[in-house]
Order: sequence, then C-alpha cells, then structure tokens
Amino acid sequence: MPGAGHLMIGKIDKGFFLFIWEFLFNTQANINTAIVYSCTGRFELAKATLDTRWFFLYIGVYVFTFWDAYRLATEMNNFARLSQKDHIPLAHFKLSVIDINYLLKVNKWIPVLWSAVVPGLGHIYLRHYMVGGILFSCFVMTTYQSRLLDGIYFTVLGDFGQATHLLDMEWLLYMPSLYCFSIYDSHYRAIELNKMYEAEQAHFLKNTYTSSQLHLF
Amino acid sequence: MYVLSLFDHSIKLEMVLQELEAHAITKEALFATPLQLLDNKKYIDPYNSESLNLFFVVFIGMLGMLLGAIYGFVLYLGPILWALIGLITGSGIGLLVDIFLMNKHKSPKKLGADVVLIVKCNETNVKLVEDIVVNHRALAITRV
Repeated sequence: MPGAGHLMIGKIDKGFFLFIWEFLFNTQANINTAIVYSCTGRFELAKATLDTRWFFLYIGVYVFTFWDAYRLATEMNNFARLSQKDHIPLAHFKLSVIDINYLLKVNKWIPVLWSAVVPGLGHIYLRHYMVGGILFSCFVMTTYQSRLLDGIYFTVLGDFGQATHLLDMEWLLYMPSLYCFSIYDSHYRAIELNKMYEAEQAHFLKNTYTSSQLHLF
Repeated sequence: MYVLSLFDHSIKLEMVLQELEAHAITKEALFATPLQLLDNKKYIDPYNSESLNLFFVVFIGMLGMLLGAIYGFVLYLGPILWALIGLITGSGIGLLVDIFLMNKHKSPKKLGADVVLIVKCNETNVKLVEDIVVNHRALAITRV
C-alpha cells in the first residue's frame, strides 16, 4: 500500500495523498483485477483489463514511494538520535477546546485487537486520530465497494458461488494490506508511546526529585 | 530513617509523590531516580527484536491473505474463506520462522522496576509513608 510507510513515520499528509493516489490510479487502471487474472493464468483477460492510459502513470510514483519512505526513515533516525542526546522535553498533557490529550502507558495488544476488528480503531484508541481517521475511512469505502459484507454473509451461509460472484476483486485486494498494516502499525505506535511516556517521566523525576541533599549513611 | 521502594514508570508513581508531599513531606526529603537498564541501551529498535516481531509475522500473514483472496476467486470455497486460510497459514509460518529461525539477541531477564524512590522520614510518620507507598503499587519496599 503506497503511503503506508509515510503514515508509519508520521508523514501523515504525504501518506494521505499517496493513499488517495493509490485508490484513484489503481481502480482506474484496474491493476488489482489484472493481478487476479495474471495469478490465475488468464493472461489475455489481464491484458485486456489494464487501462494503459492510467497504468504507466502509476509506475513512476510507485517507485518514488519506496525511495522517499526509505530516505525519510533514515533522516528521522538521525533526528531521533540527536533529540535523545539533547533531552528535548515532551508535552505530556494538552487541554484544548475539542480534546484532552496526554501521554499514558497502554497495553500494546489492545490496539492489535481493535485493528483486527475494524482497521483504524486501534489508532483511535491510541488517540492517533489522523491516521485512525484515514484508515477507518479507507476501510469503510473499501468494504462498501468490494461488497465484503455480502461476501461474508454468503460465505457463512455456504453459498460460495454467490459470494465469489458478488465480491469485487478490484477492491477486495486492498483488504489484506489495510488490515495487516493497521494491526502492526497500531502495535508499534503503542510501544513507541510507552517509550515516550517512560522517557518523559524519567526526565521529570531527574529534574524534580534528585536535587535533595540526602545523606544515607 | 529512610523508606526505599521500587516502581514501574506509571501514573501511580507521580500520584505517590504528590500524596507524600500532601502529607507534609518536603521535596528535599524525596529522592526519585530512574534506573538505567543495562540491556536497554539501544534507543532505536523498530522491530522490537527481543520479543515477538509482529511486523514480520503480519507481513507474511498479509502475503498469505492476498494470495488466498486472489486464488479464492477461482477455487471452490471463495475469496473470503481462502483469504482467512491464507492469513492464518501465513501468520503461522511467520510465527514459526520468528521463533525458530531468527537469531534473537537474548536479553537478560528483564528487571521488573524502572524507578527507585527514597523517602526520608522520622519514627512518627514512617508507617504513614509506608502505607502510601504500598497503596500506590510499589513493586518492592524496605526501610533502613
């Protein structure tokens, strides 16, 4: 999923535009449908399905996404090392008109569970509203377009032919990356939030409670 | 007289400090310092290499789910069930590879505590201090 790497490292605006770009170009060029046809050996159908007017535009930006995400992650790592040395203080509590936000330790498996139910909910639990909102709206759109719930309904009833007939292969192929990306991204965000909480508290204690003149012995 | 105790990094720790100060124990009588864990030097560890590598497991699971959904369109059970089978198989393979084949840096048994708190008090309020510390989820406590 192009854009997912950018969302992971906090480049939410760029990740969001890459998501929109991916949905627009992939559905216009019918790339996912062509993937299904190619993998199941129907090569003539695959060739006929691809819209070359959109397809060639897709390739350049797709490769750019890899390069850009890698470059950004490398730069971010350098900044992380520098800021660790300087002890840049973190804002641990913020009160505003629309929200109360604060650092707190969380269980890293709770967002995994919520993301496995509906992608985006894990991020919303962690108060990453931007990423959560993007993933959630992508999930709702993809569920509607792929007719996923119809497919599940007929699969549970045992009418596999009807389920296969109803499901839209172009949109259904987004589901694995949406689900799995949400699961592991929310897991690592929880781990990073816990680390931030510990760093902030350690900094606070060192500043406030280590200045006393205690003579133990 | 001193009360020594060990704590996790948590909101309870800040609450115990505030509670002690509310009971007329001055900041000068309080000493709280984070313990530097010796196996915790590496700051950037995006893959959480000491425990389960969920990125790896979920990524293999995603590949399995994708293949399941693709071939489900031509196989009997349909895309939904094959995607689920692919997800479970892929995650299982990822889990097995992660457990048995990844050379993990075995860290020593994790110390359960992050912070040491020392409170200076006298004979009259030592019981009170101990009660406050114990009631805020201290991991260990002793007096000297």
